[in-house]
Amino acid sequence: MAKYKVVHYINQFFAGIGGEEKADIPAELYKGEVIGPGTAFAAGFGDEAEIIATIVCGDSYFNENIDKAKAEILGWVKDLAPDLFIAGPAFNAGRYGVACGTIASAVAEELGIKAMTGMYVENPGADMYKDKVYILETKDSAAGMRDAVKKMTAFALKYVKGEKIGASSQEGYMNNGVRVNFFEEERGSKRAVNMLLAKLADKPFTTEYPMPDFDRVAPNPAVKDMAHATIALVTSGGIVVKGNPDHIESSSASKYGEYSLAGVTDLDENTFETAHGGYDPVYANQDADRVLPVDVLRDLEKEGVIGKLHEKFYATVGNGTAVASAKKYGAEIGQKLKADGVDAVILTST
Amino acid sequence: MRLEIGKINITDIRFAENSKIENGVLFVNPEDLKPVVLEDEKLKDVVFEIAKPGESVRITPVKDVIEPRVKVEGKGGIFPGMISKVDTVGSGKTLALKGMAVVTAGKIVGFQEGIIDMSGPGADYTPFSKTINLCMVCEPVEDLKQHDYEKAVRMAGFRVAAKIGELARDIKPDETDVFETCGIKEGIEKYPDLPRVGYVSMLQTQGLLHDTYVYGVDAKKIIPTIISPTEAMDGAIVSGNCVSACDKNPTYVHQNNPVIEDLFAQHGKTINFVCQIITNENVYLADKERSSNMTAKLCRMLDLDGVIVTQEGFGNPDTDLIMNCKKIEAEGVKTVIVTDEYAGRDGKSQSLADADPAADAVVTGGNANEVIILPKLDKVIGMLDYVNLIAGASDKTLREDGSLEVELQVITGATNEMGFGKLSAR
Amino acid sequence: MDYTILTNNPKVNEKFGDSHRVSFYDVPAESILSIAADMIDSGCVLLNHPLYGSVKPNETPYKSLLLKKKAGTYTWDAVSSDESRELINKAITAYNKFTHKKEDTSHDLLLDYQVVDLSLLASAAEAADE
Repeated sequence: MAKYKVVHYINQFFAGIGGEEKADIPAELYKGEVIGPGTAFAAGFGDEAEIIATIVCGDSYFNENIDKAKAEILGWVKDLAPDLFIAGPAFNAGRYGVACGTIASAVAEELGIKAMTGMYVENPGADMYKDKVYILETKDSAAGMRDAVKKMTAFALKYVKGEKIGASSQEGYMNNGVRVNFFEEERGSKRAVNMLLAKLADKPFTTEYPMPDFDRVAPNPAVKDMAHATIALVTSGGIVVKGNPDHIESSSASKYGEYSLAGVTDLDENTFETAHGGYDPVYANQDADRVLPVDVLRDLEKEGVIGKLHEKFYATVGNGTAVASAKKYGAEIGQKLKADGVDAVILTST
Repeated sequence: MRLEIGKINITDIRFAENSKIENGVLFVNPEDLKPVVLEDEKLKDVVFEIAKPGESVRITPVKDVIEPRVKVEGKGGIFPGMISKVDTVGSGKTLALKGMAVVTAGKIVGFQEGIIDMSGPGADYTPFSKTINLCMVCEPVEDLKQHDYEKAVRMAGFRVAAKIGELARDIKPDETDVFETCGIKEGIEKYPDLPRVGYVSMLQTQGLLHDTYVYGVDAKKIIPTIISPTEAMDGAIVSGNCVSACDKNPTYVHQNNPVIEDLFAQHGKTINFVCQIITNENVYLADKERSSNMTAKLCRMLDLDGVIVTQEGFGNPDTDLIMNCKKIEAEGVKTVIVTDEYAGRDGKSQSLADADPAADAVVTGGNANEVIILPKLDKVIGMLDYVNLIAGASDKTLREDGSLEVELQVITGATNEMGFGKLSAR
Repeated sequence: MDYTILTNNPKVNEKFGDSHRVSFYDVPAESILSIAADMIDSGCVLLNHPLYGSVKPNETPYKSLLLKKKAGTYTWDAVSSDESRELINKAITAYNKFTHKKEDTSHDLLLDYQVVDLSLLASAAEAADE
């Protein structure tokens, strides 16, 4: 029987070309070559499947030239006509994960070729693409390569052979919102009792059906006395002090910044800019008030509409930042604002 | 209350001249049972058939499944308020015929559903492919109204189960399980350090083919109350429900309530299983509010630390389930709910008709919309002529090769919402 | 009787037509939900759950709803207009899940659906009349 044909996508790091300094290398096709983690996949495939080509692309290059890179890679994959396309695994590398998710889902959607990838659950690529392609859950670093390859190989063979794919919890892919039946080890009542015992003991438990999208925050009651309220500004639009002193990343931000507004009445191009890589920065860099409206709030302060503008503002970059990170930043910023006696916050995006 | 359930394992059922139980074999003469059925003048005839695990047999449309039992010690009889005097059951000794069931079948309304396949892929989804089934298909007198027909078949099933159970009166059980609940104060003294746990069972109570009876009373007329779980185990709750085969609770499942069994298994070890709270699923919205208020209040008054809530049926009971969960959690009582899903054939739709963040601990019996192909089986007990009309079927349900393409919802007990089965979904 | 029975079930009309205020429309069940939505938008609330019964939306063609004007002084509503509207929206969502509609409309079958729908409606009306 002929072997199933697989095309593998990896970044510059896993291809052994280099780290961040080589992240801008353009996509390249290595026909007939098995590179980096591909070797482990090939070993796992045995006689059943083979890697017929490896595509290597720098993470920065992919993310900054997304349309061009995508078109080029799709062209190659179309010609190669594999049975399966595997990207990664990307572990917790944010831009790599986004690239893997983007290219795998493009291969699936545009070419109708089976595609999959693997990454850590908090990789921003996971939330973005888990409902578009199968994403196998891996550990957060390349130390988990063995385990990841083992999981991905087993899934890949099953998938490429057209076998029935079971529920996410059985197969190890991330929950993609599609409900799939399977038989549990224990009957439902026993599972309910076990879940209750865990809940009673404040131990972790996993619900079998997460309630749909309740990540809503009930609005606080309206501020009664705006004329004496302290109002703060917080943005995910990446407005930072000129020169980006905290080096907040242009995507998948790993931090947020705290900056002073003391004495600042207007943001201008000499003092502030945006660190955000997900929108055209020209207008924000010309006049950062367009994202963080300090000028207007100073007016309102003068007119007595608000008590005063808080003297610090907080900023991060929302572009591809994992929900878990965003939550963490939000909670910390909230604590600080509360401690400073801020009454209300205006949140701006991009 | 202390209830002993003596289990008599039934390994075969055979038709014979003399009805008796011998060495685990139930011998039954249909002529002995017929008069028990036909004492109701609304029924004209009845046919008995035996279906065994592994046989190429399909039973359909199934109305109810009942475990034959006999009460040998203690107050009350079988199915109190229905076919025995309305005494309080749940203590003393009851013998149960394990490994078998009485299955009532027959078309009460045109869209009546419920399939039990004794072999093939469908058999994996119904718990009643594992029991030896004594099936009874009843024929009504001419022009019998649907209400009367439903009641006649429901009651006939109970009478036949009791009649068979009676054969076991003097048989020594293969094993005996003892279940004991204590009074509130007694429980606190006995298990001062164990969390107090209750079981909230929601009973479907909406109208024709959608009803449940407690000691003979239509449960839509009750306000939530507490009972000893041993009462439910001893036949105090029976099913009058014929719709939504996959997630209705047949009488058999009330008798062998899996949540009660599994909570009893932890009773005195990790928890103090305090009581069962029964509540209803009425169609009237004010009733839903009132019943969930009362249920949450009872949980609080009983100082419960945790409860499991189980459901029955499709659609509006999701609202009761979520109301109960939300209000019980708001009383500071930790809650786990058991439900099933209607996520569409592709599994992509919203599973429940209602939802709330308080429902953070959910056990699911699976997606009832998932499609399954049931191959043609050699024999049908009941009738197949309705299958294109049942829920989860479509015009092309009955395919040319005789197989059926249906959603799991047509299979009796497939996605049971009391956790009776192992099916789940993610 | 301070409520209206909105229905497309002829048996409900027959049974309640003389004693109750019945708005009968010969339209599909989904349209009954839309009409109810309009009534709610113009100041009514629901008295029964729009997904009453376990007969699936792709089976029964009937739908019977109880609606009344929003409460005034010394009267009360089980659910508000907003909540009523939410229930209708969720019911419409649930209807859209059942994609395989039944084609069979034999007379006997329709009568069975009517009887069950009537029973489920009557159980709500009985509660409302108490």
